[in-house]
Amino acid sequence: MSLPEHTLGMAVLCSVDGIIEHILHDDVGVASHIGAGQPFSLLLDRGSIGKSVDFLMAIRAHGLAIGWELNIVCESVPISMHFTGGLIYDQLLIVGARTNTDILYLYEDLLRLNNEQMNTMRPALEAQYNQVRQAAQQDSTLYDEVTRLNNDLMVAQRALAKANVELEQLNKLKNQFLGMAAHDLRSPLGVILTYSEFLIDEATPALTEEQQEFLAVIHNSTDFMLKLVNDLLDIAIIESGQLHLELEPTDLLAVLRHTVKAHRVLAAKKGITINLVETPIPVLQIDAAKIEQVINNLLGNAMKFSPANTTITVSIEQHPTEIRVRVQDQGPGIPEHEREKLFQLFQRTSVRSTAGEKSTGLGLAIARRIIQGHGGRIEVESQVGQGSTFTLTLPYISEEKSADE
Amino acid sequence: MDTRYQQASEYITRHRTDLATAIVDYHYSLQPGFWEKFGEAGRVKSLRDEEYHLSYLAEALASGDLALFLEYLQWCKVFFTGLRFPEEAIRVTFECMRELLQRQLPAEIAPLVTEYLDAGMDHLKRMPATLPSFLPDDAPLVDVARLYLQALIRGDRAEASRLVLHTVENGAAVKDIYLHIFQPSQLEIGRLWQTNQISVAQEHYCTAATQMIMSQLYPYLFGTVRNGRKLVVACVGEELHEMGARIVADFLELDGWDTYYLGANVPTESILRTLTERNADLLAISATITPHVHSVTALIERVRASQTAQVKIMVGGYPFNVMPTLWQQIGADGYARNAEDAITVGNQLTETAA
Repeated sequence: MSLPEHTLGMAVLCSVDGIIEHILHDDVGVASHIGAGQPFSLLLDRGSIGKSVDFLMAIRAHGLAIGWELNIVCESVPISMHFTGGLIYDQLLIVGARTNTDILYLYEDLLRLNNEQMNTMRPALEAQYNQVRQAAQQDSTLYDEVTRLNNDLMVAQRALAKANVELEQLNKLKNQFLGMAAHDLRSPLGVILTYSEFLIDEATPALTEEQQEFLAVIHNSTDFMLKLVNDLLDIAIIESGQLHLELEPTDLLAVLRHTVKAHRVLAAKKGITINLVETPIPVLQIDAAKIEQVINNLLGNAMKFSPANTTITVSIEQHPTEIRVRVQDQGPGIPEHEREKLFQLFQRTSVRSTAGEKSTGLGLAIARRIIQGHGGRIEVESQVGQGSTFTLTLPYISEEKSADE
Repeated sequence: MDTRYQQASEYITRHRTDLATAIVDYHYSLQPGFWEKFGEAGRVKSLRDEEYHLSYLAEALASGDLALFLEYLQWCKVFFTGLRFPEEAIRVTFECMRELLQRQLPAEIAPLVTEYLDAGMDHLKRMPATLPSFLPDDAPLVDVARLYLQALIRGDRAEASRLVLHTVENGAAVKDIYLHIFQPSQLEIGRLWQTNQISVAQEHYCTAATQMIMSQLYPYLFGTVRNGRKLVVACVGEELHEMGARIVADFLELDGWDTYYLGANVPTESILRTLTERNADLLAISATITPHVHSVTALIERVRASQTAQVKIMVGGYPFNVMPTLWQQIGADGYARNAEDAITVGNQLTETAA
């Protein structure tokens, strides 16, 4: 409960022992509870009595105690008030009010009283009033400073909130642009690719050797550009938070068989062997097409960087809560300081491909996001000169376990 | 305008401390019994108050507008009544000021000052000693606004915030929250402080809490469609109460402007730099107390002399509301009475520019 408006508070004069001698000012109605001859502490609620003794001791020790919060009890309702007490000759003047500012006004009221008692007290009271006023002024300066500080923080916060919205909009715009550009590039590239393939297949006898070379360059470059555009589209979709996975019960081993088979033809041309170590694994809830894209990427990379007469080993392992797929090559390996940036957008390593194959710098970044979308992870171990192993881990809840749930 | 008003203002400003001392001495000599008991501390306070009265008088004279001074007197009356000063004491204070200035000022400017003080004292008698509440029963959203204010006075920031967010979620426009909750409750807090019903600490707390709660509405603010116009908002002087300017910035943001709020205490150089960097169409300057009008004038002069001279300047705040032609005198392009008005004026000013 708080005091009614327009109520200043109370002022009492006590002996040094805290026994009330005079009630000087009383807006609160303390006089009906307590009178001369009774201890000041009697006015307080039980929880405040200990504190009030400290308060009286502080006045005696320092001559002045400012801004103590004590609860007085009026008509059995506790009221929280600020108290200031000071030693005036051999008496204690105790002033209590709702706020420290009101205490100042009470002092001013007391100073205005014109009676014998006040006249003797006045010089000491004035000295005390000045001290209390100084303390209040210090408080007031601090309040102003805190408000300035708060204003500055709010200015900064507004600027940040605005910048944040602008950045979000720019990011959205970037993704839109990326998506649109990639989408519109894909159709004409597809046309060029199809017609260059057609020419290679059908028109070769009519062309000179040089013309055939040009045609091959057109075909390879277009093929690379189409890959790049497809990767950019994937990135745009993933970055805009629209990676959508079609999770269906899938035989992952079948996916691996199919992918490995598809790569064997090209691998053979480079003198590379691909081994698949088969282990039976349960059916998984995954997006088969997206996982195939990831395996394609890992196998493609392994082939790009492997020299002739080496082997790439694809294996699969079942663990209690996860399935791991490893793609291990015998290529040149990746220096340690370059391993983490492998998975970042548009990053390439210093390692050169063995037949001049190009990289978009996007494949592994896409792979990582797809695997993360499945709640899994993708990691690399590598030793320079000996080869690299990429491991993708997919979470798996066994039938028995999920049946328990 | 009669340049003697300017002279009178300059004279008072130059001799303010000496004049204040002379006035207080004179006043005390007339009522020794009343003042003696306040002692030296009381005297220091009286001197500070007197200097304050003189600075308002000087500012009103400089702009040749009596209304500025009358508004100040109204504020004084409410404030000192709140401190339980007898009305008589307030009256005698200004009578002493009048008599002493009449004696001490050069003969060619003394009559102007006397004219202001006579009018002031005539008004003082009739002015109400209390201000009406800023949250009358028929105000829109008044129930929420009152609960909001009570929560803040209790120190319950979380409840105040919940009330506001709940009201917005139930479909109230952000603008209405500003106009019918934040603004009137801030004014009401000022009134409660002026009439000594809440403490300085509470007043500061309420302001800080309201600013924080305003920032919780940013998601509603910064999501609107842009109109391509850019605004920079600054407050002049040591302005602690810069909420009005903040509301202007937020209202124009809601209208589709890109707004950059610089707040108070920003050096002129930074304001000029921001105008250039942001390629601003409009600069809004706020002043909440009359003695800061000079700083607005100085800022406008600096902008006009800079490479961003073409930017339109809109001013606002208490001194401009009290004296409706002040904005023209200090060289602004326009003046907004309140945040709603600022949208209209801001758009008009920048349309003619295009």
